Amino acid sequence: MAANRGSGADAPLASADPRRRALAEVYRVHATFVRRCAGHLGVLDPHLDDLVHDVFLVVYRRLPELDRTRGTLRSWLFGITKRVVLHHRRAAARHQRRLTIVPPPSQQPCPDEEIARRRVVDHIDAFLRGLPPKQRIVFALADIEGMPAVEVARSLEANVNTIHARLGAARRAFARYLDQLEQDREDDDGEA
Amino acid sequence: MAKLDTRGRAVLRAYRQAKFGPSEPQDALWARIEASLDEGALGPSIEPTPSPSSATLAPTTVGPTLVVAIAVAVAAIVVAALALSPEDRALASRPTPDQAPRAVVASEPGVATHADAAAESATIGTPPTSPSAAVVHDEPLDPSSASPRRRAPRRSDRDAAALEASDPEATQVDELRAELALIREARQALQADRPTGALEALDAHARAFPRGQMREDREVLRIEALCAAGKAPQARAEVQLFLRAYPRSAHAQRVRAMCVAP
Repeated sequence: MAANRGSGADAPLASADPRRRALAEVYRVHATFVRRCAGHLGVLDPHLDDLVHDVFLVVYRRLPELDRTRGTLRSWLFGITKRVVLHHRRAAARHQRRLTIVPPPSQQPCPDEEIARRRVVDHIDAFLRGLPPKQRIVFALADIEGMPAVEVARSLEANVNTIHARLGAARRAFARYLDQLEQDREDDDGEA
Repeated sequence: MAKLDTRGRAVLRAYRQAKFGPSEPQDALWARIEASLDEGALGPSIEPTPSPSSATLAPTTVGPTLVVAIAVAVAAIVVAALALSPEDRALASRPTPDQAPRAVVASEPGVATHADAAAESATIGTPPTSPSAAVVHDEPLDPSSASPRRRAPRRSDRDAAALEASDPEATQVDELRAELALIREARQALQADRPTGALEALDAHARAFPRGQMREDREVLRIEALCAAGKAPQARAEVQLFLRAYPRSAHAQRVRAMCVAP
């Protein structure tokens, strides 16, 4: 097996193990989706790699159980990701571990583009933090990940009408938030 | 429902790009996953994914649909039980908690067609020669994994043997599932503070699968169970054997810390 290890997710397509090949393909297409979902579920950046690693080990184990008639591959992956996140949280609580996150290196002066990028991330992160958790995950899956409401409902094991209601509330809050940001910017420009 | 306007969509697109970067899978992480698989790691033990079908039904349809579904399920179980051979019944009675629960109610058709085809799913059955050549649509994964729970019509033993001989991959998956069931049984016994029960399950695994894919996990659990059963000297001897047999195991560090002499 080790001999088949490649540097990229496409390399193991030559693996003799069909399940390993299937996993490689799922990883190639959906690894970033899993990573983003873990982020939406509150996993901090330094732990994302560990989380994605564990998710794909579970995916490998469970590939034979996958039943595509019960939903899309993405909703199945989200279900696994959600449970692995819960597992990590429980394990951390059980062992009373408090991991110290190494602070990022001191901020160097960065170009305007980088400042703009950070500003977008900071603003939207602040908005997401302000949403009730149930609205937050619906908003993230539907409007950041682009999942249809029916798929979100499957992923979260909720009624589709409930999903529509949560998404509507989150979108209204988002529109108000963007309006407020624009207003603040105009005020700043006026003062300047 | 409120719609997301153009401004909102643009901001969220920028956020996704800025926060998570380009949508390229990480090669280094894949290499790490492969290394873990080579070492026999199975990832965390998580609860089975509940059937989404029942959860997404509209409240007004749940009542009658549930009654019909339960009736159908009971009938199916009775028919299946009558059709099973004694060996099958023995296997079926063994708990397989790692297996996801089966959908009792038929899932809604056409759900997958709502999905965004570009990022939806990958075709696994025919691996592309290059990443860019991947065909992306919603077909089942590969023939062995597409619908493993769909039971074929009853066959004679000879037919079944012939089928198994022609499909060694399916046999491997079944064996792995049986191995997982025993390992899970042992783990649950350990968690319930029943080390003797755990050792019995591990012995059963060793008899049935002396060279099974889970033998490394079996040895780790055996050491834990021996410790829990108060057989520390034997556990420490097993630790030495384990470290000799699997010097590069992902469990090595944990095993070294087990049953350390005071």
